[in-house]
Amino acid sequence: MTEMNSEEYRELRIDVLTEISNVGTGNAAHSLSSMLSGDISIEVPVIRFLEFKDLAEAIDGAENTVVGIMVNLQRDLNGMVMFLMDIKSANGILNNLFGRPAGHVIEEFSEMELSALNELGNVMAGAYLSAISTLTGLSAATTVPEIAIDMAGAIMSVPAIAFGKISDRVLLIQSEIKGEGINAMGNFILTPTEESFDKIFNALWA
Amino acid sequence: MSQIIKVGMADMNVCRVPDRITTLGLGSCVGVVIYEPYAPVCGMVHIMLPNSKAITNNENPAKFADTGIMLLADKLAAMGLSRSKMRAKIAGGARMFKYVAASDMLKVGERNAEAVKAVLQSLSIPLLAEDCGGDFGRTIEFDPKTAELCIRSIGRPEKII
Repeated sequence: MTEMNSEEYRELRIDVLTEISNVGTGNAAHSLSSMLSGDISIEVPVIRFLEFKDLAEAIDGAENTVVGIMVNLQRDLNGMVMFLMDIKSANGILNNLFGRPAGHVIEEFSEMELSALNELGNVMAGAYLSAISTLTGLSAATTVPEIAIDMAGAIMSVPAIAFGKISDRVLLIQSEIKGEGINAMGNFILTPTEESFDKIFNALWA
Repeated sequence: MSQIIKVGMADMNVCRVPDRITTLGLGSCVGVVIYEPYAPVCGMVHIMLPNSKAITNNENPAKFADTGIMLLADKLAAMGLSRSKMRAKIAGGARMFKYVAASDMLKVGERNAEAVKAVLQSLSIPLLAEDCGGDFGRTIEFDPKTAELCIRSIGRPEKII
Protein backbone atom coordinates (compact mmCIF):
# COMPACT_ATOMS: atom_id res chain seq x y z
CA MET A 1 0.00 0.00 0.00
CA THR A 2 3.06 2.20 0.03
CA GLU A 3 2.53 3.15 -3.62
CA MET A 4 -0.86 4.63 -2.92
CA ASN A 5 -1.30 8.36 -2.62
CA SER A 6 -3.44 9.81 0.14
CA GLU A 7 -6.43 10.39 -2.11
CA GLU A 8 -6.43 6.79 -3.29
CA TYR A 9 -5.99 5.59 0.23
CA ARG A 10 -9.01 7.59 1.28
CA GLU A 11 -11.11 6.20 -1.56
CA LEU A 12 -10.14 2.71 -0.53
CA ARG A 13 -11.28 3.44 2.99
CA ILE A 14 -14.69 4.38 1.65
CA ASP A 15 -14.94 1.11 -0.24
CA VAL A 16 -14.12 -0.85 2.86
CA LEU A 17 -16.64 1.03 4.98
CA THR A 18 -19.29 0.55 2.31
CA GLU A 19 -18.78 -3.20 2.40
CA ILE A 20 -18.96 -3.20 6.18
CA SER A 21 -22.17 -1.17 5.99
CA ASN A 22 -23.86 -3.62 3.67
CA VAL A 23 -23.09 -6.62 5.79
CA GLY A 24 -23.92 -4.70 8.98
CA THR A 25 -27.35 -3.70 7.77
CA GLY A 26 -28.18 -7.32 7.07
CA ASN A 27 -27.20 -8.22 10.60
CA ALA A 28 -29.17 -5.29 12.00
CA ALA A 29 -32.37 -6.43 10.26
CA HIS A 30 -31.96 -9.83 11.82
CA SER A 31 -31.36 -8.43 15.31
CA LEU A 32 -34.28 -6.04 15.14
CA SER A 33 -36.65 -8.77 14.06
CA SER A 34 -35.93 -10.68 17.23
CA MET A 35 -36.38 -7.58 19.39
CA LEU A 36 -39.56 -6.14 17.90
CA SER A 37 -42.87 -7.78 17.16
CA GLY A 38 -44.32 -8.41 13.72
CA ASP A 39 -42.42 -8.39 10.46
CA ILE A 40 -39.50 -6.02 10.47
CA SER A 41 -37.63 -5.14 7.32
CA ILE A 42 -34.66 -2.89 6.68
CA GLU A 43 -34.23 -1.47 3.22
CA VAL A 44 -30.92 -1.72 1.41
CA PRO A 45 -28.90 1.10 2.93
CA VAL A 46 -28.03 4.31 1.19
CA ILE A 47 -24.41 5.01 1.96
CA ARG A 48 -23.19 8.53 1.63
CA PHE A 49 -19.87 10.11 2.25
CA LEU A 50 -20.74 13.68 3.02
CA GLU A 51 -18.91 16.85 3.79
CA PHE A 52 -19.49 17.94 7.37
CA LYS A 53 -21.45 20.96 6.32
CA ASP A 54 -23.99 18.80 4.47
CA LEU A 55 -24.33 16.15 7.14
CA ALA A 56 -27.11 17.70 9.19
CA GLU A 57 -29.25 18.51 6.17
CA ALA A 58 -29.00 14.87 5.12
CA ILE A 59 -30.98 13.89 8.18
CA ASP A 60 -33.67 16.54 7.84
CA GLY A 61 -31.92 19.55 9.24
CA ALA A 62 -29.52 20.42 12.00
CA GLU A 63 -32.24 21.71 14.30
CA ASN A 64 -34.45 18.65 13.99
CA THR A 65 -34.83 16.87 17.35
CA VAL A 66 -33.28 13.42 17.19
CA VAL A 67 -32.40 10.54 19.47
CA GLY A 68 -28.72 9.65 19.28
CA ILE A 69 -27.25 6.50 20.78
CA MET A 70 -23.50 6.28 20.85
CA VAL A 71 -21.12 3.48 21.71
CA ASN A 72 -17.37 3.63 21.76
CA LEU A 73 -15.31 0.73 20.46
CA GLN A 74 -12.73 -1.10 22.48
CA ARG A 75 -10.32 -4.04 22.21
CA ASP A 76 -8.92 -4.48 18.66
CA LEU A 77 -10.64 -1.41 17.32
CA ASN A 78 -11.18 2.10 18.57
CA GLY A 79 -13.75 4.52 17.34
CA MET A 80 -17.38 5.37 17.60
CA VAL A 81 -20.64 4.05 16.26
CA MET A 82 -23.71 6.24 16.47
CA PHE A 83 -27.29 5.40 15.66
CA LEU A 84 -29.67 8.32 15.10
CA MET A 85 -33.35 8.58 14.41
CA ASP A 86 -35.90 11.33 14.65
CA ILE A 87 -38.30 11.55 17.59
CA LYS A 88 -41.25 10.26 15.57
CA SER A 89 -39.34 7.16 14.47
CA ALA A 90 -38.26 6.50 18.05
CA ASN A 91 -41.87 6.90 19.18
CA GLY A 92 -43.01 4.31 16.61
CA ILE A 93 -40.41 1.80 17.67
CA LEU A 94 -41.28 2.24 21.37
CA ASN A 95 -45.00 1.72 20.62
CA ASN A 96 -44.14 -1.56 18.92
CA LEU A 97 -41.78 -2.60 21.69
CA PHE A 98 -44.23 -1.87 24.50
CA GLY A 99 -47.27 -3.19 22.62
CA ARG A 100 -49.05 0.16 22.36
CA PRO A 101 -51.34 1.22 19.53
CA ALA A 102 -49.42 2.48 16.51
CA GLY A 103 -50.47 6.14 16.70
CA HIS A 104 -49.77 6.64 20.43
CA VAL A 105 -47.78 9.81 21.02
CA ILE A 106 -45.26 9.81 23.85
CA GLU A 107 -44.98 13.28 25.36
CA GLU A 108 -41.75 12.71 27.18
CA PHE A 109 -39.69 9.52 27.13
CA SER A 110 -39.58 7.71 30.50
CA GLU A 111 -36.42 6.20 31.95
CA MET A 112 -37.60 2.79 30.83
CA GLU A 113 -38.23 4.03 27.29
CA LEU A 114 -34.85 5.72 27.14
CA SER A 115 -33.23 2.55 28.34
CA ALA A 116 -35.08 0.56 25.67
CA LEU A 117 -33.85 2.96 22.98
CA ASN A 118 -30.36 2.67 24.39
CA GLU A 119 -30.55 -1.06 24.04
CA LEU A 120 -31.86 -0.73 20.51
CA GLY A 121 -28.90 1.45 19.59
CA ASN A 122 -26.59 -1.04 21.22
CA VAL A 123 -28.08 -3.91 19.25
CA MET A 124 -27.79 -1.95 16.01
CA ALA A 125 -24.19 -1.00 16.73
CA GLY A 126 -23.46 -4.62 17.56
CA ALA A 127 -24.80 -5.63 14.14
CA TYR A 128 -22.24 -3.43 12.43
CA LEU A 129 -19.42 -4.53 14.69
CA SER A 130 -20.14 -8.12 13.97
CA ALA A 131 -19.88 -7.23 10.26
CA ILE A 132 -16.41 -5.86 10.90
CA SER A 133 -15.48 -9.02 12.80
CA THR A 134 -16.82 -11.24 10.04
CA LEU A 135 -14.89 -9.40 7.37
CA THR A 136 -11.63 -8.87 9.21
CA GLY A 137 -11.41 -11.35 12.06
CA LEU A 138 -10.82 -8.43 14.43
CA SER A 139 -12.87 -8.30 17.55
CA ALA A 140 -14.37 -5.18 18.97
CA ALA A 141 -16.18 -4.67 22.23
CA THR A 142 -18.43 -1.74 22.92
CA THR A 143 -18.74 0.55 25.89
CA VAL A 144 -22.09 1.02 27.63
CA PRO A 145 -24.28 2.93 25.20
CA GLU A 146 -25.10 6.54 25.88
CA ILE A 147 -28.18 8.35 24.73
CA ALA A 148 -28.88 12.00 24.04
CA ILE A 149 -31.95 13.73 22.67
CA ASP A 150 -31.17 17.08 21.13
CA MET A 151 -30.65 18.91 17.85
CA ALA A 152 -29.36 16.64 15.09
CA GLY A 153 -26.40 18.87 14.34
CA ALA A 154 -25.35 18.99 17.97
CA ILE A 155 -25.48 15.23 18.45
CA MET A 156 -23.75 14.51 15.16
CA SER A 157 -20.98 16.90 16.02
CA VAL A 158 -19.60 14.24 18.37
CA PRO A 159 -18.83 11.56 15.73
CA ALA A 160 -18.08 14.24 13.15
CA ILE A 161 -15.37 15.61 15.38
CA ALA A 162 -14.00 12.15 16.01
CA PHE A 163 -13.92 11.54 12.27
CA GLY A 164 -12.74 15.06 11.50
CA LYS A 165 -9.25 14.09 12.50
CA ILE A 166 -8.88 11.86 9.48
CA SER A 167 -11.28 13.25 6.94
CA ASP A 168 -13.30 16.23 5.78
CA ARG A 169 -16.21 13.98 5.18
CA VAL A 170 -18.20 11.55 7.27
CA LEU A 171 -19.76 8.22 6.42
CA LEU A 172 -23.51 8.20 6.83
CA ILE A 173 -25.51 5.02 6.36
CA GLN A 174 -29.24 5.56 6.06
CA SER A 175 -31.79 2.81 5.99
CA GLU A 176 -35.53 2.68 6.33
CA ILE A 177 -36.81 0.39 9.03
CA LYS A 178 -40.36 -0.79 8.44
CA GLY A 179 -42.68 -2.85 10.57
CA GLU A 180 -45.95 -2.74 12.51
CA GLY A 181 -46.47 0.93 13.29
CA ILE A 182 -42.85 1.60 12.41
CA ASN A 183 -41.65 3.73 9.58
CA ALA A 184 -38.32 4.80 10.88
CA MET A 185 -35.31 6.23 9.17
CA GLY A 186 -32.25 4.85 10.87
CA ASN A 187 -29.05 6.83 10.45
CA PHE A 188 -25.68 5.36 11.26
CA ILE A 189 -22.44 7.16 11.60
CA LEU A 190 -19.40 4.96 11.68
CA THR A 191 -16.06 6.39 12.69
CA PRO A 192 -13.12 4.15 13.34
CA THR A 193 -9.93 5.92 14.40
CA GLU A 194 -7.05 6.16 11.97
CA GLU A 195 -5.17 3.42 13.75
CA SER A 196 -8.21 1.16 13.60
CA PHE A 197 -8.61 1.88 9.90
CA ASP A 198 -5.09 0.61 9.39
CA LYS A 199 -5.89 -2.50 11.40
CA ILE A 200 -8.98 -3.16 9.30
CA PHE A 201 -6.99 -2.76 6.09
CA ASN A 202 -4.15 -4.92 7.27
CA ALA A 203 -6.61 -7.62 8.29
CA LEU A 204 -8.36 -7.46 4.90
CA TRP A 205 -5.14 -7.69 2.93
CA ALA A 206 -3.37 -10.18 5.16
CA MET B 1 -35.14 41.65 1.37
CA SER B 2 -32.85 40.48 4.08
CA GLN B 3 -31.52 36.95 4.07
CA ILE B 4 -30.16 34.56 6.63
CA ILE B 5 -26.75 33.29 5.60
CA LYS B 6 -26.05 29.74 6.72
CA VAL B 7 -22.75 28.42 7.99
CA GLY B 8 -22.42 24.63 8.03
CA MET B 9 -20.19 22.46 10.18
CA ALA B 10 -16.50 23.23 9.58
CA ASP B 11 -17.61 26.05 7.34
CA MET B 12 -17.16 29.82 7.19
CA ASN B 13 -19.14 32.66 5.72
CA VAL B 14 -19.55 36.42 5.84
CA CYS B 15 -22.64 38.58 5.93
CA ARG B 16 -23.61 42.16 5.28
CA VAL B 17 -26.41 44.27 6.79
CA PRO B 18 -29.42 43.79 6.50
CA ASP B 19 -28.66 40.05 6.33
CA ARG B 20 -28.07 37.89 9.38
CA ILE B 21 -25.77 34.91 9.73
CA THR B 22 -26.54 31.61 11.45
CA THR B 23 -25.21 28.16 12.25
CA LEU B 24 -27.68 25.46 13.25
CA GLY B 25 -27.33 22.83 15.95
CA LEU B 26 -23.92 23.52 17.43
CA GLY B 27 -22.87 20.72 19.77
CA SER B 28 -19.25 20.33 20.79
CA CYS B 29 -18.26 22.66 17.97
CA VAL B 30 -17.85 26.36 18.65
CA GLY B 31 -19.45 29.12 16.59
CA VAL B 32 -17.27 32.21 16.40
CA VAL B 33 -18.61 35.56 15.24
CA ILE B 34 -16.20 38.34 14.35
CA TYR B 35 -17.56 41.82 13.74
CA GLU B 36 -16.70 45.45 14.11
CA PRO B 37 -19.20 47.54 16.03
CA TYR B 38 -21.21 49.78 13.65
CA ALA B 39 -19.62 48.20 10.58
CA PRO B 40 -22.00 46.54 8.10
CA VAL B 41 -19.94 43.38 7.62
CA CYS B 42 -19.41 40.41 9.92
CA GLY B 43 -18.44 36.77 9.63
CA MET B 44 -18.92 33.44 11.33
CA VAL B 45 -16.85 30.26 11.46
CA HIS B 46 -17.99 26.88 12.80
CA ILE B 47 -14.96 25.37 14.53
CA MET B 48 -14.79 21.59 14.97
CA LEU B 49 -11.34 20.99 16.36
CA PRO B 50 -8.83 22.97 18.42
CA ASN B 51 -5.63 22.65 16.46
CA SER B 52 -4.77 22.01 12.81
CA LYS B 53 -1.17 21.18 13.60
CA ALA B 54 -2.01 18.15 15.70
CA ILE B 55 -3.84 16.56 12.80
CA THR B 56 -2.72 15.09 9.50
CA ASN B 57 -5.86 15.88 7.59
CA ASN B 58 -6.01 19.65 7.76
CA GLU B 59 -6.98 20.81 4.30
CA ASN B 60 -10.08 22.64 5.43
CA PRO B 61 -8.89 25.66 7.44
CA ALA B 62 -12.41 26.49 8.65
CA LYS B 63 -12.42 23.30 10.68
CA PHE B 64 -9.80 24.37 13.20
CA ALA B 65 -9.63 27.12 15.80
CA ASP B 66 -6.12 28.23 14.87
CA THR B 67 -6.56 28.41 11.09
CA GLY B 68 -10.31 29.15 10.96
CA ILE B 69 -10.34 32.25 13.11
CA MET B 70 -7.28 33.67 11.39
CA LEU B 71 -8.80 33.05 7.98
CA LEU B 72 -12.02 34.75 9.00
CA ALA B 73 -10.17 37.77 10.40
CA ASP B 74 -8.13 38.02 7.18
CA LYS B 75 -11.24 37.80 5.05
CA LEU B 76 -13.03 40.48 7.06
CA ALA B 77 -9.96 42.71 6.95
CA ALA B 78 -9.92 42.33 3.16
CA MET B 79 -13.56 43.42 3.16
CA GLY B 80 -12.69 46.57 5.00
CA LEU B 81 -12.92 45.82 8.70
CA SER B 82 -10.22 47.28 10.89
CA ARG B 83 -8.30 44.57 12.77
CA SER B 84 -7.93 46.75 15.83
CA LYS B 85 -11.69 47.26 16.05
CA MET B 86 -12.67 43.62 15.56
CA ARG B 87 -14.72 42.03 18.35
CA ALA B 88 -15.83 38.43 18.92
CA LYS B 89 -18.75 36.54 20.38
CA ILE B 90 -18.73 32.77 20.74
CA ALA B 91 -21.11 29.94 21.65
CA GLY B 92 -21.10 26.14 21.73
CA GLY B 93 -18.51 23.74 23.12
CA ALA B 94 -21.08 21.55 24.83
CA ARG B 95 -20.59 18.01 26.04
CA MET B 96 -23.40 16.14 24.37
CA PHE B 97 -22.86 12.79 26.07
CA LYS B 98 -22.10 13.11 29.74
CA TYR B 99 -21.10 9.77 31.23
CA VAL B 100 -17.88 8.99 29.44
CA ALA B 101 -16.60 12.33 30.65
CA ALA B 102 -13.06 11.12 31.07
CA SER B 103 -12.80 10.07 27.47
CA ASP B 104 -10.61 12.32 25.45
CA MET B 105 -13.02 12.62 22.58
CA LEU B 106 -15.83 13.88 24.72
CA LYS B 107 -13.88 16.72 26.23
CA VAL B 108 -13.45 18.20 22.80
CA GLY B 109 -16.16 20.78 23.46
CA GLU B 110 -14.22 22.31 26.32
CA ARG B 111 -10.98 22.09 24.38
CA ASN B 112 -12.55 23.80 21.39
CA ALA B 113 -13.79 26.68 23.53
CA GLU B 114 -10.40 27.06 25.21
CA ALA B 115 -8.58 26.98 21.88
CA VAL B 116 -10.93 29.54 20.36
CA LYS B 117 -10.33 31.92 23.26
CA ALA B 118 -6.57 31.48 23.04
CA VAL B 119 -6.57 32.21 19.29
CA LEU B 120 -8.74 35.31 19.74
CA GLN B 121 -6.36 36.52 22.41
CA SER B 122 -3.33 35.92 20.21
CA LEU B 123 -4.98 37.98 17.47
CA SER B 124 -5.90 40.68 20.02
CA ILE B 125 -9.58 40.35 19.22
CA PRO B 126 -11.57 41.04 22.41
CA LEU B 127 -14.16 38.40 23.31
CA LEU B 128 -17.21 40.42 24.32
CA ALA B 129 -19.65 37.62 25.09
CA GLU B 130 -19.80 33.84 25.27
CA ASP B 131 -22.24 31.06 25.97
CA CYS B 132 -20.23 27.84 26.14
CA GLY B 133 -20.43 24.47 27.87
CA GLY B 134 -23.45 22.61 29.18
CA ASP B 135 -24.88 19.43 27.68
CA PHE B 136 -27.22 20.83 25.06
CA GLY B 137 -27.14 21.93 21.44
CA ARG B 138 -27.42 25.52 20.28
CA THR B 139 -28.52 27.34 17.17
CA ILE B 140 -26.96 30.77 16.96
CA GLU B 141 -27.86 33.75 14.83
CA PHE B 142 -25.97 37.01 14.63
CA ASP B 143 -27.34 40.31 13.42
CA PRO B 144 -24.53 42.66 12.38
CA LYS B 145 -26.88 45.61 12.69
CA THR B 146 -27.40 45.18 16.44
CA ALA B 147 -24.33 43.00 17.18
CA GLU B 148 -26.66 40.66 19.06
CA LEU B 149 -26.04 36.94 19.08
CA CYS B 150 -29.28 35.05 19.60
CA ILE B 151 -29.02 31.51 21.02
CA ARG B 152 -31.79 28.92 20.76
CA SER B 153 -31.83 25.49 22.40
CA ILE B 154 -34.46 22.78 22.80
CA GLY B 155 -36.57 23.29 25.92
CA ARG B 156 -34.76 26.44 27.02
CA PRO B 157 -35.61 30.09 26.73
CA GLU B 158 -33.97 32.06 23.96
CA LYS B 159 -30.86 33.86 25.05
CA ILE B 160 -29.26 36.98 23.63
CA ILE B 161 -25.63 37.81 24.26
